[in-house]
Amino acid sequence: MEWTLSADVVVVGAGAAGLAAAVSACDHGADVIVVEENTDIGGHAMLSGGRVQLGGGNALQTKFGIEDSPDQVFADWVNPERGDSRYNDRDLVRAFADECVPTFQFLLDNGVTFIEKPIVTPDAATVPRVFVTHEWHITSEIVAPRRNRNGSGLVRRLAESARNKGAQILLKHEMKGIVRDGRNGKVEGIVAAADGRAVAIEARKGIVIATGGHTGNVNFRRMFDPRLTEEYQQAGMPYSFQGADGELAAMEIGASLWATGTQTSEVGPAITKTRHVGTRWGYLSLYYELDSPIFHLCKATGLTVTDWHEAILVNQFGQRFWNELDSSYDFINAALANHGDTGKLNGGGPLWAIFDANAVARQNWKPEPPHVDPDGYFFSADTVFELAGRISNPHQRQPMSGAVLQETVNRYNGFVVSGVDADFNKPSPLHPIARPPFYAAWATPILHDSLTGLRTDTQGQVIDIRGETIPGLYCAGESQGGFAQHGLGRCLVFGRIAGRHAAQRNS
Amino acid sequence: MEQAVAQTISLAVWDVPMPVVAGGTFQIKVGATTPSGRVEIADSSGAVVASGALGSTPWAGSEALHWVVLELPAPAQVGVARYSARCAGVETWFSVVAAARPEHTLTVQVTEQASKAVLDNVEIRLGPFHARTDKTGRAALSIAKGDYQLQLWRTAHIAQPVPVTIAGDVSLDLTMVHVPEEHPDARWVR
Repeated sequence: MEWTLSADVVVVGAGAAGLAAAVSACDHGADVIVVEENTDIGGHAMLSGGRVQLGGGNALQTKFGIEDSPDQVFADWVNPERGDSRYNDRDLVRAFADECVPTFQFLLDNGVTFIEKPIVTPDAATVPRVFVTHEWHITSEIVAPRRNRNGSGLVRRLAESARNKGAQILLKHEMKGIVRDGRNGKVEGIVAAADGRAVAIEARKGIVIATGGHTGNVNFRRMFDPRLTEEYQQAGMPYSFQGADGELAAMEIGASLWATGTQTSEVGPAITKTRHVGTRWGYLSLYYELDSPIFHLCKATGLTVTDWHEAILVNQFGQRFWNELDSSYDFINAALANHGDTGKLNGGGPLWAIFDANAVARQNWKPEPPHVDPDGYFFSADTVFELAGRISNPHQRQPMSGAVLQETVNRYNGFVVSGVDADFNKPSPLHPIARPPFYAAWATPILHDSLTGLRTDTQGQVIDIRGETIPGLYCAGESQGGFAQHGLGRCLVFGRIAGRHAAQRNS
Repeated sequence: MEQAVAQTISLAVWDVPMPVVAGGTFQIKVGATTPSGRVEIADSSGAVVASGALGSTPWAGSEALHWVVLELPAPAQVGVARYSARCAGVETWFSVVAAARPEHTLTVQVTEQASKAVLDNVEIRLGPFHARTDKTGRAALSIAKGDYQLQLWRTAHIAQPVPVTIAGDVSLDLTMVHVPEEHPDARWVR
């Protein structure tokens, strides 16, 4: 193999896990190349709230008198009574628990700063363990400014530190495959594509897969949940695409997945109800303001729904299917049910929020660009019947019947009058949908967490389908399986572990 | 032929009062996506109870919805009734709830329990009677005698239903508890 570039450790992906791995590998004497397919660093973590769960008795927990220990972290995250903990690989959780405190210190040592306020979380944690990073101080370098996307402060600091320690970060380099020695099985490097040319990068000691998960890969995600067909968009888009590149490249050389059931344990935000309607990208906490550097890709902010009394949700046939006030997995499962599309049995199809001029007035919405995207994600009309006929979107597989939508709305308005939703028991429907004009806004559920991925040992070394370590190949972050904890904590811990172990390998 | 018409014209009915007074009359607005024509309203027996010609000026904010205000008789009995609206062979329907004539006034003042701040835009409902508080946190409803469950709604606020008996004019001071809208991130830690 003729290598274009060479480094001790090659990290694939410059999100939270990859950057932690890069810094950690540098700290342990390795020279490091990070390849990132995006035009900038950060991955999903750039758009995250910066809520870092690293307990066990970290410096800020101690400052606030919060009693915690690695044993308590372990006990919480293998708790058999909870869905987010019972399926976890206990060896991985033990390693995580033991490395939380040093990883928190690692962040402090690399310039990451935190808001000094402990956050209680409703997950498996039994004590406050979350502290939030400060938002990055340069607005133009924040992808979703002024919306508490404090993860920008985490990844910008880590990238800065990685570069200061000598790591090269190669943007717009997309990994295409892993090169493995056919004789001893060790991974030797990667092949990436950059500006249409192939770049072969030797990894003398190790490769860390930190590509961020699989939610953007329809074929891959359907291995775990066949319902997740192409209509479901992903959190983090259109900035951070999680296409399972790392998983696929590793699986092509024999890697195994691990704890795959965690993806469908129906705990946490694997699948979420949308919050901002009328835009393709309406994830709960993600709102792109007009000055977002990627707004030209986002195309619309969306209309934020704080009260689902203001709209009904209908499927592609114009029928209600559940109580709109519910956001639980009961709602999600109803949304993903087959609603009668005999030509496409999997997936629930698009959902549309239907509302009227009075809802717009009450909510002070602005039903026009750039707040909504009329190119397939938002429609208006003088009557409900007419509205149905205007709905057109690549995922709307047949025209919506005006008669059906009209009947749905008339029936719902009858529930407002009677005070009782006889179909789905929405508590006391408040507002009729009656005053023209009428609106239909894209409100299809959105995917977020990758909760399963590649099998690794406690050092982050990838395990193959026969249970053997693949020498030199590591994985961390959302591409790693076995620990279904939402968020940045596990990404940072296993990134740091993997980078360290890879750096310490004999080349 | 009629089917072709049905594909090009459609109707909207709005500003239907809630409730209407049983045995009285009430007004609605009816619009159609056609520049001319007559609208008919029929009651649940099919009898035409009102009709009128569409106006020439489209409804503000619409593309081309021509409309008319119609007055029609309310149901004689208390309860929910269904009416039909027709124009150019196209039909839709709407529901009306009829209640006894309001004889009393219920005045409410809504504040947040802890901060004592007045709460505007609180939706108040007692059976079919409803109102929304103004900027001073006040609302007044004309309401019929009877026993009700008073319910309040406001985004990020909660309040238990309150049993209320209306036998005369009543003033109530009501409180809601502010429940900060859960930060979307808080729900999932990230």
